Amino acid sequence: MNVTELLTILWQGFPKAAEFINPSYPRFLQLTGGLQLSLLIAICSFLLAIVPAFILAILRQKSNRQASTINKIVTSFFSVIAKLLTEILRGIPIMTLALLFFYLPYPLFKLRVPPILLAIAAFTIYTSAYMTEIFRSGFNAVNKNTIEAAKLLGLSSFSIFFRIRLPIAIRTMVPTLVNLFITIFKDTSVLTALAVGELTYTSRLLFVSAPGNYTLILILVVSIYWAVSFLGSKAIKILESKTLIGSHK
Amino acid sequence: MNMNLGKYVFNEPYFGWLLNGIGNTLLISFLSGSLALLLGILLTSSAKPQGKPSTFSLIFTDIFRNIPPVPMLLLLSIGLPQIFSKYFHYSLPSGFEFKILILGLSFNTAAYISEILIAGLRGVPTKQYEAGVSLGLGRMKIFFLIQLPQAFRISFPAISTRLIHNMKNSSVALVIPLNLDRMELMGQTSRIAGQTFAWAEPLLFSTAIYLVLAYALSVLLARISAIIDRKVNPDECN
Repeated sequence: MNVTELLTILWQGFPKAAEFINPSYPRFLQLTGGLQLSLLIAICSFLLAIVPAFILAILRQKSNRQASTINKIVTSFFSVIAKLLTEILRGIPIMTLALLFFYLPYPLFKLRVPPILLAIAAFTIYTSAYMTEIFRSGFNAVNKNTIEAAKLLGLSSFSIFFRIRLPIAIRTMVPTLVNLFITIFKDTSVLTALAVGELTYTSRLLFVSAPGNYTLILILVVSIYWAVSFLGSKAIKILESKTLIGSHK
Repeated sequence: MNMNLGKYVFNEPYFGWLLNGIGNTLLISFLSGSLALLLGILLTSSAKPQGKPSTFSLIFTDIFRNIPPVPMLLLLSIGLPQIFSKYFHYSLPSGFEFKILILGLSFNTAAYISEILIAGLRGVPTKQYEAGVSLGLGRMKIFFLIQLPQAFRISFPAISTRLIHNMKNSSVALVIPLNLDRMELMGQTSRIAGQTFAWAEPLLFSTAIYLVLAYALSVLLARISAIIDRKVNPDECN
């Protein structure tokens, strides 16, 4: 077995072995290969996490001083809940979180969900906890004078947020978000323990068919992970330099 | 919904296994965390005084920061013995996986810590280095007595995040074959599940334990950070 053959298997998947190991796999999973599935889980959970992270980040904003007492109490109540939620999620390792998502739905609710959806759900929750922090710090990093100038111009708080605060905040958030994406991509490797057919698991399936070549396969897998995240970290450096130039203009 | 914590968690031998797992998680995270701190400091000590990392530490960080722990541990615990037996005709002693686990985790964390420390080193004014040179101190003395304490003070919050992450990362030991008494919390959880088919109860228990451990570690590191802040205070030196 040579390197190019192995690479094509890792990219195109290993349908026969996957069928053999887990007959209840959804049909489309048999067509996706290890690296494709890793990327799919990472991208889907990253995109899905934007909504809950955005809501949590808005809930964690402090109310302004002029607001009424009831308004203040309500906002602080929600911000405490949002903070508790993110802190709890950040305290659980992704391995445990994924296992929880895989083994709790059936005993609790008698639900049978395809493993790929459970994997995406677990990673969405995991990602949103970290993304909330990024969004929050991005919103807080916007200069207060800019917001005050917008208020003076008579913009409503809705349009201040969506026209002034968000576009400025996104600029500072992009490098950190790319960093988060790389972290998620690397973390998808823990799904190996749950027999979701992502990159590392594909390599373990190959181990069953070709035990002698396992070292070579693992070295290939490690270098694939390395290459993706190395390219990502280089992209972050470029993005960072671009956003820095933008802020000096 | 039928949970039976009394049967699958607070019952011998399962509770003993879980306690053993907690102890091993603490041991693994302590050993790998301290080794990572040591490695990170050593990697940073080779940096230029202005905060430019040396080529070796740059390569080390670029390699180990970009490899996720799971395939790396698989490579080290399954691939390494294959290489040793194939090319050196030497079989690794049993129980080497535990040492490999600590080594692998600490390499991953050390890569992050050295990067954080180098960023902290940039936060120390270059004047401090020049003052050290004019006092006639050597390069290493300047680094360990003047620059490192201040860089440590600046970057300790980021380092403590990495150390908590290191503790959580120890859960990936589930994928490598460890001895039964060396398994950490997730390993023992899956061991209980393997014997009783009950995943939910031990899993909820170990989730709670991880939350408690993460919280306790963050409180402890905040205490240490306060102590460092008090001991290393540049305002007092002026």
